[in-house]
Amino acid sequence: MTRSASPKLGAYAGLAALGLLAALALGRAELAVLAAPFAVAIAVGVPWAADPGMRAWVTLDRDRIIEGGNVGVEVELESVAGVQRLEVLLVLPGGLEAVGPNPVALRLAPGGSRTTEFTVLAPQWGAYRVGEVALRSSDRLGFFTFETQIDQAAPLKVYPHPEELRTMLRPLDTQPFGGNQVARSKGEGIEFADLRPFAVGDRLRRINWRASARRGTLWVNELHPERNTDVVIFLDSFAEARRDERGTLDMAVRAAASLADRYLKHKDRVGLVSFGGLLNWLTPATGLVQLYRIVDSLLDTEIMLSYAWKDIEIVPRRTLPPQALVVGLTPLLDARAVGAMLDLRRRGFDLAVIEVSPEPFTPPPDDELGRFAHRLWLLRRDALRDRFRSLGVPIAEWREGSGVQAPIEEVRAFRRYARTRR
Amino acid sequence: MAGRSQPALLAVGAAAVFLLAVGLTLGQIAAVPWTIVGLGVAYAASLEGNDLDGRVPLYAAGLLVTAELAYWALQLRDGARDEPGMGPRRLIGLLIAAAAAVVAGSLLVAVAHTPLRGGLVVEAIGLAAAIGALAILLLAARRA
Repeated sequence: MTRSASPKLGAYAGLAALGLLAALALGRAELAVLAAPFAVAIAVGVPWAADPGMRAWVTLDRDRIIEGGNVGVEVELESVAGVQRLEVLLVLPGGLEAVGPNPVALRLAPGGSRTTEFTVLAPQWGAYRVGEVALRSSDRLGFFTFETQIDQAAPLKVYPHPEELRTMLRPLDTQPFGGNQVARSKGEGIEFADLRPFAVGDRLRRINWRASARRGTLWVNELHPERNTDVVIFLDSFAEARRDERGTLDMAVRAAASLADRYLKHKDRVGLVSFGGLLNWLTPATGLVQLYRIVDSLLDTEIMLSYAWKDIEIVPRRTLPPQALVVGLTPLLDARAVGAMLDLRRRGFDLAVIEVSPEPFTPPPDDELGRFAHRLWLLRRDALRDRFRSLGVPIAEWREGSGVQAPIEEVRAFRRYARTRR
Repeated sequence: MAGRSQPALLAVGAAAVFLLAVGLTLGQIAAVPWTIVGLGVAYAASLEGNDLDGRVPLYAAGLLVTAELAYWALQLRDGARDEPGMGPRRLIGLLIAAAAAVVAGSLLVAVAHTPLRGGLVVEAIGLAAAIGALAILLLAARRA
């Protein structure tokens, strides 16, 4: 531990010296008696001060929580020489808050150990490292301060709170594997598709007896099979609009986590492309493990300033299966992400875009020129949306304060009534 | 030292107390030693005649307690909450220190009352001892 003299030591030494000098100068023994307690305190305290020989271990009770949840941090302390008053501060990264007192002061007997617990609240999703502890103690008379910092930081992953989605965007095409999506093709399934005349090899249980009775020959039901689909979440992480603690990237990450959760529960394969200064991708897969992979990848999403031009060629082909539905989450602030999505559409991908609106985070300036520029900016954004719609890409604006379900419904309505050009 | 008028002494003492109050409110640790100096000056100015004041050990203990309590209050300002039992334990330690100060001060008063023969030599030894003690204190503080 680092030892440093406290101001109290200098003050006591000064008072003792002043008292003795005044006693000598003025010839009054009383002044020496006044100075005596301070002098004796130094004479006793300075040699008596010893490094407490602190050791500490930090453990978290969990390494993954949902945002808004609490995690317990246990700090075990041990001292060779003992400490009358040990201050323990759990150093928390930005985005985490301590629930309850932090720092705390406690006493440690010589050779003894104590455990103190902190509760940490994680209001914001992200990947954090928790476990750095600052210790400070003083000797019995408070003349010296002993400080040390113990870094036993362990990773803590705070997952975004998924929004419950009632409906989802369904891709135009399905995959050959079993799932929950009713396919357009005909095969073994539950959903009725069509009637056709009986052919050799058809199963008897597929005979539609009513139709057969009406027509006098055997007719069988054709069914739509249930298949899974491929969904790729395309997250634009080039730029974001931010105000205080909120921003478009937070909204996009939460929406991505909600969509991934919902699609994976329906046995669909979900992949992720985080397209920005830092490029990150996950090939589509199913299952709970894939959900954790996606969410862990989302936690690492951050805005990294980059002037390098990137297009969709940079993403591996296997990340974007040909018949996958690509759901774009973008604030439409960076031309590179917009260009990549338009390029995807031109290559024939089934694309739907949810625009995470930056407008609530960028209020118009007060001056007239600023307001004019703001209006121009809004008009350019309208033109950009029209560009998407002209290519048959449904695009819905999502503003802060509402759930992601609303833009999803808007996109569904567009896809229901618009003709899709291949 | 001749005694000073009561109003002047009260003013000095009140100024010292005011300085302490302001220092504790604003968290200024430098106010504590100056408060003790002020109270010591007020006491020194109140001394009359050449007789040794027998109450000085009590004043010495009072100054020590004042300083310790002030530093304690400033320590608690930093936000670290003490666990239960630490306060009473520290208070007991402070009372013991105050009692020790009274005892030590009384011993010094008793020694001061003892007449010493030896004239200039004894005076010189006493002066050297005082300067030596001062030097040791300052050295100890500096090394720390």
